[in-house]
Amino acid sequence: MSRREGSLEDPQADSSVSLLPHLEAKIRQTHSLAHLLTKYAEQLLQEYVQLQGDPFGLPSFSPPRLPVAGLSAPAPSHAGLPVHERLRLDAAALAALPPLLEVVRRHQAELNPRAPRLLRRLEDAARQARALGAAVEALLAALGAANRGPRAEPPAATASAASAAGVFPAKILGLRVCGLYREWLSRTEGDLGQLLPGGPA
Amino acid sequence: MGLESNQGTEREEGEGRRTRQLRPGIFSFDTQMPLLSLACLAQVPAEPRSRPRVPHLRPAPVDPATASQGRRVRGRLRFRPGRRVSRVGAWRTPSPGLRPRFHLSCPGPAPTWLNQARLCLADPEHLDPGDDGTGEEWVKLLGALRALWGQLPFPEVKDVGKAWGRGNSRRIAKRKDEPPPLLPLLLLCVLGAPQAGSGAHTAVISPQDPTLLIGSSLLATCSVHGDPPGATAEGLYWTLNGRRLPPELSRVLNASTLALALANLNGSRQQSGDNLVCHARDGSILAGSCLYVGLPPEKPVNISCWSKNMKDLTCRWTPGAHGETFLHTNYSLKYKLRWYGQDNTCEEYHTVGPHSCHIPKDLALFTPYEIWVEATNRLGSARSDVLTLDILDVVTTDPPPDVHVSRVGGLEDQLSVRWVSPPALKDFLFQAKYQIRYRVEDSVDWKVVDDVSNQTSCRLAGLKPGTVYFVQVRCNPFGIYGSKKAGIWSEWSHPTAASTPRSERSGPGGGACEPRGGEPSSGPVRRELKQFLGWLKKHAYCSNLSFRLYDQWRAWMQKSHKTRNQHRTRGSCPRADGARREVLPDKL
Repeated sequence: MSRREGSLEDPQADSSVSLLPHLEAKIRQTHSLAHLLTKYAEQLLQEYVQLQGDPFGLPSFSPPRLPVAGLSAPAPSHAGLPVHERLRLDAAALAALPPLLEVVRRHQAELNPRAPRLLRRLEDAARQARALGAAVEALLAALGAANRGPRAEPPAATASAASAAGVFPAKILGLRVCGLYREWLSRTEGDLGQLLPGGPA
Repeated sequence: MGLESNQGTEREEGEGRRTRQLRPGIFSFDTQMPLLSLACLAQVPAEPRSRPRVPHLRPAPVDPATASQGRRVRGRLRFRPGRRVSRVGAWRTPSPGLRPRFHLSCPGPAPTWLNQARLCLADPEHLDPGDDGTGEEWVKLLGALRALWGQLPFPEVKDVGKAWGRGNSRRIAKRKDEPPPLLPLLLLCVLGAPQAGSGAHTAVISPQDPTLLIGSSLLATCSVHGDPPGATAEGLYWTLNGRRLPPELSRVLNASTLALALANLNGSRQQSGDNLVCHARDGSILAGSCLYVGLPPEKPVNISCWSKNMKDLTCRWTPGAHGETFLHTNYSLKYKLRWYGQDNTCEEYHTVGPHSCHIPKDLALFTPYEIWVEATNRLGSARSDVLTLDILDVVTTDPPPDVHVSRVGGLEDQLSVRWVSPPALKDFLFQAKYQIRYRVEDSVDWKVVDDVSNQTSCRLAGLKPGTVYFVQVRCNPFGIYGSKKAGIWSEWSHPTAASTPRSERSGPGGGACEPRGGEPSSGPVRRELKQFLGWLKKHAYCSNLSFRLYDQWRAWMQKSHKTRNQHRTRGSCPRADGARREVLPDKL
């Protein structure tokens, strides 16, 4: 965030006038970040399926949508929720993604050790999800809609179950996590877009 | 594995027992299990004084060169006309690399009713799946026999103990505490491990993630289970890397198990493993297993190492002759002091290419190191030959810095090159060699000046006037600390450019239209000189001026140039101290 934004809690500022441009700039910035990360997530998914081999890259591939511990796909009812609630869910999902992405990165370090770009993308994705999640939470705080009470820690993703089940389930898990990453980033971008001036919110 | 069907016909006998009549023919199968016996219990018609015809088990003809490696361990033949007979044989298979085949033949035309096929392992140690894969062979063979004989009652593994007497039973019993005995494993791979379900059917593929040699075969099973029960193998099919496999490769083993037989496997398409998937009738994925098919690594070769400025060591190697193993192969560079010390492992890989490693810390001088590379993948490992070297014998250095190229006065065909001795080794380079290379700007052909002795300047001659040249210099710190080795050339310095002076009659506007062949003084220059000499005769008191004198002067110049050029182009470069002063002949 630019230093020029100043502090949202500056008591000297006229909150009703000076906060709004800052907040709007912050929303725009976070929305742009989400937009950029959505593109990166798409590239990550493409590279992931390519390295797992067919049928992962085939259009007809329909893997079982196994549940992932600690994270689910955006519900169909998500779009009908108030924007603040949606952003809270987005932030929670973005906080749950980094450990899952790390699990996938560890699997892929064994399966595709000569794919440094994929491993780097997975590592970057975890950091970027964390950064975007923090940005969304900061926005919610600025909007006065932050979660009250202690934030629930995302459950530690366990790699051992997937590893013990075999390589193919580990590939499926990675596909699922990369897919969820893309879905939640896209959802976050959409939800932030509704906060922009001119948006429905 | 041969699966030539010989299912014959079936009939019911008393007490719910079924038997199957074998058609005349041969069922053949092969296995890698070291000890194998197959007992076939059959009933033959009661024909007194006739030779009973019984199913016959024998090793298939093998390569005569290896036939001596197999030997019959035990065999006995019992038969009682009119009653069940059995023929038991046991053969020790040759070394694991070979795949012996056994033929089970049914003599005809008299009916021979096969009551039971019993497969026994003579050596209980091979009940354990172990690392040699014989457990998998056991499962594969069972699967093959089941596929062939369908619903024939088949013995459980527990019968093995009975078959081999108390001694072996004790050995089998002793293994109960060992890694999982075969029976539970067998059940596991046939029935499949239950998975958390939501009412949908799931499945288990066996084997999970096997590693196989190129050209080998695989027998896999997909066992469906689900909640509520009633999962069926009907309609299941296989895909490999997204392609549906022909139905003739599959066979229903039982109501819930579909088997697949693949032969002569190709190398894996991707290093993460080939995706073998079991699908339900509607195409949904029930289970998957990744196949790793490849080759063990070859011995790495051509290890070469060099030390930059005596501070580190970088090594490079080439993978074995066949190169591609289709499996991820890990290379590890190891090193140790020859006379003492423990093995160390290099940690910084891919520094100068995919098969390289850099050891950054200070290394001992004046003592030899042993260096080797170990290659490992899922199918095995290989170790290179050991390279022994002293760091001082493989020293190289950075390129000479501060390379300057300048004109030599007005000489059109010469350039002066100066450089600085590499600073890291400047205190040690008593015998360093240098090499210079240069090329015309728009050419790719370099000319090399060899054997520039231990000096830091050189003059290039015989160049074209008015031409831009690129010049590079490199250094070989041979003989450092008395090393007798040839030394290793540094990289070339960054190209430095300079241009030779143009000829006097290069034309208006500096255009390069003059022919460059022949003597530089030919053509227009000579014409102008003639005019000048004529003018001098008329207006000056130089009556002896003539072209003859001019030619003598040029000949003298060329002779002195030629002497210097011979040294320069053939690898020696006399020390040049500043600009060369030209001395004209006295007579002019």
